[in-house]
Amino acid sequence: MAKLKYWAPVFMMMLPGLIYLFINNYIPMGGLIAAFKQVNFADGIYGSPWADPWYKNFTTKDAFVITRNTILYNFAFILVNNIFGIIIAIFISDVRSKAAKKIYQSAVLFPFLMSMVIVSYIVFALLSNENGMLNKSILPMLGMEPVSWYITPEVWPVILVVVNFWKGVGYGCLIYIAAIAGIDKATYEAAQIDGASRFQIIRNITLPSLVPSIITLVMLSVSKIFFSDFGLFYQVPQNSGAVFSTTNTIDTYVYRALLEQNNPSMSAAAGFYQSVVWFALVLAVNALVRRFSRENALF
Amino acid sequence: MLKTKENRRYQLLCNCVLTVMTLFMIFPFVLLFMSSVTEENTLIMNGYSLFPQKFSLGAYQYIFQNGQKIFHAYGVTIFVTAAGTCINVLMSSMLAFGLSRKNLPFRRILTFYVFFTMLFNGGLVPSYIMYTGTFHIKNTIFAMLVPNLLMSGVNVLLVRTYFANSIPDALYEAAEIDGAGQARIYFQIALPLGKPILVTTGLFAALGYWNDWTNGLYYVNQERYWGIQNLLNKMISDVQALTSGLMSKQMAGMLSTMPSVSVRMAIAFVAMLPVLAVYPFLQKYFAEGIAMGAVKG
Amino acid sequence: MRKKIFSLMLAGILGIGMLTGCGDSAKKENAGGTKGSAQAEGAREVNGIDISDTYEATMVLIGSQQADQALVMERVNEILMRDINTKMDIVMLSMGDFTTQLPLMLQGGDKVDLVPVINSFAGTFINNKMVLNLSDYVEQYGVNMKQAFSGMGEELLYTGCINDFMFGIPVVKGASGVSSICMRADWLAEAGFGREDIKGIEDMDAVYEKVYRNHPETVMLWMTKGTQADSRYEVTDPLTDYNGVLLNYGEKPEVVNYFASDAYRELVTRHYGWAQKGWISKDAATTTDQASTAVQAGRTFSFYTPDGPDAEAVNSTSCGTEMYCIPITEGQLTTTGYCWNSWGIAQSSENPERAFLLLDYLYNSGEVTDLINFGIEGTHYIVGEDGLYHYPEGVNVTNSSYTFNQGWELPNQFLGGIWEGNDPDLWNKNIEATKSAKRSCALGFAYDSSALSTEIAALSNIKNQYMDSLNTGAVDPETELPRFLEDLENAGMQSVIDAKQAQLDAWYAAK
Repeated sequence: MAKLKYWAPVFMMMLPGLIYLFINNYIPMGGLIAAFKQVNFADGIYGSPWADPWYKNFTTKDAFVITRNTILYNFAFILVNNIFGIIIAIFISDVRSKAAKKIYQSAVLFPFLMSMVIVSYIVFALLSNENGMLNKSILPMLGMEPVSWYITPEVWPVILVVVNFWKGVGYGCLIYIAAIAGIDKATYEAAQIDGASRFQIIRNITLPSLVPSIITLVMLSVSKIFFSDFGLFYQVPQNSGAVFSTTNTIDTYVYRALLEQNNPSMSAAAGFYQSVVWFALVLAVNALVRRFSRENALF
Repeated sequence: MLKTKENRRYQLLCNCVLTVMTLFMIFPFVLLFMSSVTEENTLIMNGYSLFPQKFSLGAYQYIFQNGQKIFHAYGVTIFVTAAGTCINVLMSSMLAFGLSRKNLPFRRILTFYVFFTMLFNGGLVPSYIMYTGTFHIKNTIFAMLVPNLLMSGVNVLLVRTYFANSIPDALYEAAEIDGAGQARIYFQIALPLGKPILVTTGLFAALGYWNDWTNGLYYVNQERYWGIQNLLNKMISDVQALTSGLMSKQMAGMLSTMPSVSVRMAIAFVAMLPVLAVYPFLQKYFAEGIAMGAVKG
Repeated sequence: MRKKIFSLMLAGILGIGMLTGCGDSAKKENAGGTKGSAQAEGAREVNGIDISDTYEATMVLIGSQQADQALVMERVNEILMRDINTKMDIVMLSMGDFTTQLPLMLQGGDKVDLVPVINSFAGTFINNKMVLNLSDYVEQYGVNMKQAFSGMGEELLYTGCINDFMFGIPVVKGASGVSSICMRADWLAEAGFGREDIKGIEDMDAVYEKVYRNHPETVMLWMTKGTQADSRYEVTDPLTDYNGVLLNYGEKPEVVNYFASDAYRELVTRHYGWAQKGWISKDAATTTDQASTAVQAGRTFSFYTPDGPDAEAVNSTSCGTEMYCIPITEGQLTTTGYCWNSWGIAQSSENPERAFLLLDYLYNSGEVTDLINFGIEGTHYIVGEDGLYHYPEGVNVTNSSYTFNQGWELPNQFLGGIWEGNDPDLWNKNIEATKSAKRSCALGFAYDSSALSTEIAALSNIKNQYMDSLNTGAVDPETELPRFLEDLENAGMQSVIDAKQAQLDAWYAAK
């Protein structure tokens, strides 16, 4: 009883948050049942008949493409953003001038703050087939033929990786900078006195001390490998049908199935599939993290 | 001697690479700005360019003359961002405060309750039915404020971890011996000590609100509750609808009301401006917060 | 301190209460209001529908919101209350959001009555039970709408059907498909041609040759993303989606693959040749800049336009220079073209009879049509001596507080006024054009695509992928067209064609 009295104010404080999660997250979860139903709007999600066979909504010709795209893009993002993030972080940390350091650091993070709508405007200014800067100024200058970017599926993996790098590299980079700043200065000095070259110092001191951060970041990204930034894949290619084969991911599929094809069942099925796989991945990653460092595990 | 020479060469390399990177990061914004001050016909004839042949402030003039809509949307975004961020920080820190206490009854269950929301989401339609049917938030300011952005499980867990790691139990005990209630402990110990993480999560919440266009798209069809991102998104989607072939025949008449290319660019730039303006002051917190968030999270 | 927290929380909870409470009390007030007025009216009937209770209907329109919308709706409701005891609320969706918001509203069960149905969506709307079957309503209550179509042929009223399901009532309009090439009169004269020199698309080569020599910096033919070349020739009956069509104005009921036809090959080959000569912009497959903008910027000479009898006037105004619009096809009547947009009644309608009554009313009310389309006379528009509608003095498109002007989507715009810049006799010309248009043998037939949804989704992806670039001549048809056809075949084109043919045969037999 005393215990209850002691904790009551704390529970009161927690209540708004708990209620919000219940409303915003838990109640709509019931809608996942649509994945197993043949939804029509007259009967609503709960009243509609069951899908027959039950996995009907999960079988679609696009399943392979959207899964492949989502996973491959994420691998590319992880690789590119981490490698370049580390390189940039090392360079920024080693720059002597304080002012320059600050400028670089600001520049690398700034795109991270932009909304995807604005990013898509910028990308369009660059790639617009006739008016774009690339086709109008840069390619002719190099003596190359203009490319119709928005109808050429092959170029989009590169474009999206570059855009994602531009927008996202700052995030990882700052984490690495912080990790480098945490390295004991004395170690560096000792190495320098021993006559180690820059490269040796980076290889033998900096990189090894970054390993925990790298593992954390990569793990975080791996567990999200079934998710994609909807804005990046929907807004940036301007929803151009010609490039669906390389830009359609699970998230854009969920959206299009729901609102462009009016098929809530297929949309819910894709969302369900995504969540289940993610759940499995999170458990796996968590188990892995537990093996290496207990205190960093989520649960 | 040799070493300093090597050092100097290394510094040069660093600066060169980083300068290239800086230009790469900044250049798109410059392009956006230059397009917004390019004269409309030049833009159509010569395309987007960093060095337009003919400048014109026509786009900005247009914004200021026909700007009620834009400024109104701006006001909505500012209000929603401010209110949403405050509520977000308050709610998630109160919840995290509880979860961070090691002796809290049902602690594991409640933590999992929060964590589980990160795993599954029911999709758009059930959320829509609930928010419009039960809570009637469609076409109200709450539509911009409440769905999804008000609090996230990730933030709660981040703050919880920070509280748990940086506030020693002894401090709570001491406060309790002094006769402080839990509310007082929250306000006078947890909040001040948790300031770094709260500023960070607050900044990210604010960024989320500022950049969000989905809530407006789904829950609002009256322009008076639209934020600036919705306005931008509408301009793109209108152009897309026009050119998708789906609507093109009958819609020609709507063209006259559509802003021209340079105006669209100008609005995009104006939408970006506040972020650009506050960024230098808040950059430190972003950087610290990101570093902290990842290491602990 | 603790007290402070609790009061804060209390305020929070109250806030939430207000959130839900607000909606409720607002609703109650409305309900009270309607009851009162209903009692005053007493029992009434219109077209056999009991209207003694006031009904509040919601109509969805595509367009941008108007500052004075509330003011105009007040006037509209005065009229509607007087005649059919109905109050109408209009939800205005911008055309970009329309495709997102309408499905969400219908799926989410919002209270909606009248919804625009675009024919390519009709299949999914029916399959998902988003709209009601109107067949019985039309027979029982459709007095005004039958009247409205009688001048042009009553069969047009029934073009919004799939099998026996009537998903919508088409808006009253003229035949579509008099495709024209619209070109600058000054550049044409400069090159030494007159409008009589151009009889068909074949004559354009010589014209472009010369004009291009005079203006080598420009493109001759402006095309944009989504300019589906076939819609510019409009010589087929597309049977909703071009997955299997009836060739040559739909002269015989034989479904074929349009993209494999000689007509399509000829079209894309011609455009490819033009693009190779620089006559079509390389950007055409993706550009979103409209032709009129390009003409104004001095960037182009001509473009295809599907407009009706007033094409020349309309385009001359929007391009800011005199334009000739020379027809390259005859007028054509198909289900797809005529019933491109229609008015359906949402599944969630609380009283479909009353919603239908309102719809039927709109087919015969020039007053309401003008109000919704142009606003209030004297405030938002004035009627000039020429009989056309104009802005009042000091008002223009940028500062007008009501300038919806989207007559094409209103049920019967032929009842309303005509805006300046158009032909004062536009409506009659449209009716004449409709009477003389070539009728497809499948007019009134629309196919049921429910069993084919996977194929259709796949086909539309493939078409999205190839058509823009093929149609605008951006790629060589020698290599791309076979690939396109092969992909279509793999995506199930033949099964769609077979299904269409079977349904068409059955429809034909029943007729």
